[in-house]
Amino acid sequence: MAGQTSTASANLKKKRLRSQILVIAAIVLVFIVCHFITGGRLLRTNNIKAILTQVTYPLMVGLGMMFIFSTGMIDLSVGAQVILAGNVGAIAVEILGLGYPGLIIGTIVVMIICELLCTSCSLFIGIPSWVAGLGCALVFEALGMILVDSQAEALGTAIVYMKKCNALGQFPVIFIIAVIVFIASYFIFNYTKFGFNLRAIGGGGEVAEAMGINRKKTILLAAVIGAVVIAIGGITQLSYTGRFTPTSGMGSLSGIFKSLAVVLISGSFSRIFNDAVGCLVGSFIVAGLFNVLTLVGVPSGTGQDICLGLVVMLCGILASLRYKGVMK
Amino acid sequence: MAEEMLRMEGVSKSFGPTKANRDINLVLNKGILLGLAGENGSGKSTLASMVCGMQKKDSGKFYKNGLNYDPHSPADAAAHGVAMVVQELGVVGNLPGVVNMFLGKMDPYTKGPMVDLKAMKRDAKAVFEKWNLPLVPLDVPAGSLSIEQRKIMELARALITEPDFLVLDEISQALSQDNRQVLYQFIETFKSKGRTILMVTHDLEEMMEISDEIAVLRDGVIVESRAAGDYTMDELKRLMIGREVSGDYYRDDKEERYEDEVVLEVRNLTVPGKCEDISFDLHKGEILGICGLSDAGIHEVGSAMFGLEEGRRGSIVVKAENKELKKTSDLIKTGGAYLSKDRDAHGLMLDAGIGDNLIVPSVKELSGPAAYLSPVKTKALAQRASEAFEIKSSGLGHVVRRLSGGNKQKVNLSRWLVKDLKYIILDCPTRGVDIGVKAYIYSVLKKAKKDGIGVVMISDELQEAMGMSDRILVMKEHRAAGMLSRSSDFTEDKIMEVML
Repeated sequence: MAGQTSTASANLKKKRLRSQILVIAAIVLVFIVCHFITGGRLLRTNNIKAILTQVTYPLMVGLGMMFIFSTGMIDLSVGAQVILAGNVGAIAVEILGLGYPGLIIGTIVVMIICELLCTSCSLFIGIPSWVAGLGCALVFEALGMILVDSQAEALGTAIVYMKKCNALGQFPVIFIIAVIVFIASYFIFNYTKFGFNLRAIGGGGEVAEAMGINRKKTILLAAVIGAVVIAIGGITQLSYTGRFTPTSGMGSLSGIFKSLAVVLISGSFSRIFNDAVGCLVGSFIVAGLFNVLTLVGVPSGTGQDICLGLVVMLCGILASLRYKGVMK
Repeated sequence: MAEEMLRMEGVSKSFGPTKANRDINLVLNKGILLGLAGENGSGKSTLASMVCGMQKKDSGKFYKNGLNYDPHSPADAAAHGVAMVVQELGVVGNLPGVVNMFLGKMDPYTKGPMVDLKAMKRDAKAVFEKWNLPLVPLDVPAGSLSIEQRKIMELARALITEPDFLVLDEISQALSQDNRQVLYQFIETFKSKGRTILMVTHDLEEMMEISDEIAVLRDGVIVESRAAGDYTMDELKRLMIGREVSGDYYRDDKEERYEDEVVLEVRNLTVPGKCEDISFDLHKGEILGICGLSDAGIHEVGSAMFGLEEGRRGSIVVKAENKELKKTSDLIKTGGAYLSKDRDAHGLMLDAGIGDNLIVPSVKELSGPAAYLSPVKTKALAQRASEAFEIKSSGLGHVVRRLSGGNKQKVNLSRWLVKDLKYIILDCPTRGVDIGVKAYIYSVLKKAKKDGIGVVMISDELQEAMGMSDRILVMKEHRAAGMLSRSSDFTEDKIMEVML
């Protein structure tokens, strides 16, 4: 029995490894094919730099969402939170003159507060997390508008534009930060007690609680860690673009659309890659796809979104192929 | 004089108006196994879950080793040396087995921020070895393990904390013959160390055989508690039900009796690595048992017939319509039904109400013009099924997840049996049900047989297979090892000989 068990286990690992290699090889192959389709522009050094830069924001926000969503909390107010927190960071730099410390601390603290508020609405009041998320999104969007309107006036502009503290958004710094965030997230998620606890809460809350895991504490901690990761993504994005434009009427959702796609792709590949690696693979797929579509002239917002939707579904189909289900 | 391990004094528990346990007084001594007998809904699982901290008692006291014991959570119970393998608790499917085993107990394996998975795996394996339990894959997500492997893993998980008091709630019914023997050996070893077991099982033969003492619960009250050897089987049944139960609920005829007409023709059914080259005919009015040791492939035959297994080869033909079953919907269209052994994962909509679960297989028949489902018709059908099987609940809106194991199985079965079936594939139909429901299921099977329905009954219980089948297909190492007939071959020795 023990021999059979280790063989079964080893076979499963081999199959998983084979699938991983296959998926990565397929992505590389698609990139090479697309290189020729785009007339040799895709894999040019400058374009590779652009892709590596474009990977960073969906990846970091996706990783942050992974922490939050893994506990079963579907928080769709993340986009509104980043806009609000980012603008607080930008105001700290441009109006208060607090430089990098102001940018980093302001953005992270506001992001943590917003995420904890939203999570608490669901956790302590009992509102379904997606309802709490949508409600909070409207509130955070409105707060972002009010804040920016009041502060931009002082700058004489329509929005708060961050002209200083742009080093964090430059290549390769932005990419190095994303790599560090990915490695840290990967280890927290897969090799720490907290990581296992939060996955246990998401996978079977009653079992986890019965095993002595403090559900509320774990979910709140996941919210904090997720918020920090998303905030780092927000800071680098703000340094890169110089602004977060406030929106209303759930417009903030479009700002995290690519990150949501990354999380969806990661979920599709959950039998092949663990969630963190799935986010990495997903962010390369998303960034690569948008880059290629832009290079071949597919209109953004419509054609590009259709392609992204199809790719997300295709990933799900490919990952489910030949799934055997229960192991004997 | 025997030394006391756990004492319960005046323990009561209610859920709204339902009194699940009333004034329970019970003493469990060291080194014994106390079997808790009772019908579904008699309060056995509630009592077990209070002992292991999953539920709070309303009143009364527990004393463990003479000291007040009032667990506020399973983790607290574990800290007091009480561990459990209970019905309601399972595994976290998305986490590897090794992580599941140490959930909530990872502190000793934490080095800085990291968890030492290697050390956890090493210690997990040591638990399997120490208690002679068959090792299950620990690296793969627990959700991908079979129900039997999961139960064994849950047992090993319970043993990690070195408990001196173990609660086992219907564990054996998930196990095949050989692994039941492993469980019995484990129980002997555990008891020999002066440790105590509180066991809930619906298999009364098993309870009589392995228990030192038996306490009988009826309507939440202990009606009798004494040495197991002092009970007779009929007396135990009478105490559980509250009335006389006729001695034998199996078939009383000794001949295989069925019509010549073949309902299902199975030829060379193969699922690589799971079952190989299985062929048989299921006749009208026949109960065909399928038995084998664990991993023999008996459950896979059922799931392959239903179309759940990938890479299935061979043919399954419904002879009356000359229709080959290729996918699950073919089985339902041709008047067939299938009940999985794992009713929670593959049978029931756990978070839906009883009513919704009961009408699901009959939606097509109940549909009116424009697919309109008449609330009157659907409620009537659900009510009929619920009453026929005496499902204990607060009503048709009662969420299935909140039902006892036996009542869940009643929902699972009754929704199919109210339909007009030609054949049915049952995988362990009496798993987790009490003697009353068992008797009812057997009577339904007898009636089904009389009505000409062909029944494939996959069973881990030899007594059940011998008691109800016309023929038994015995499997060994994924293949058919023999087909035995009721009139000549139905002895335990003979079947075991073929199995081994």
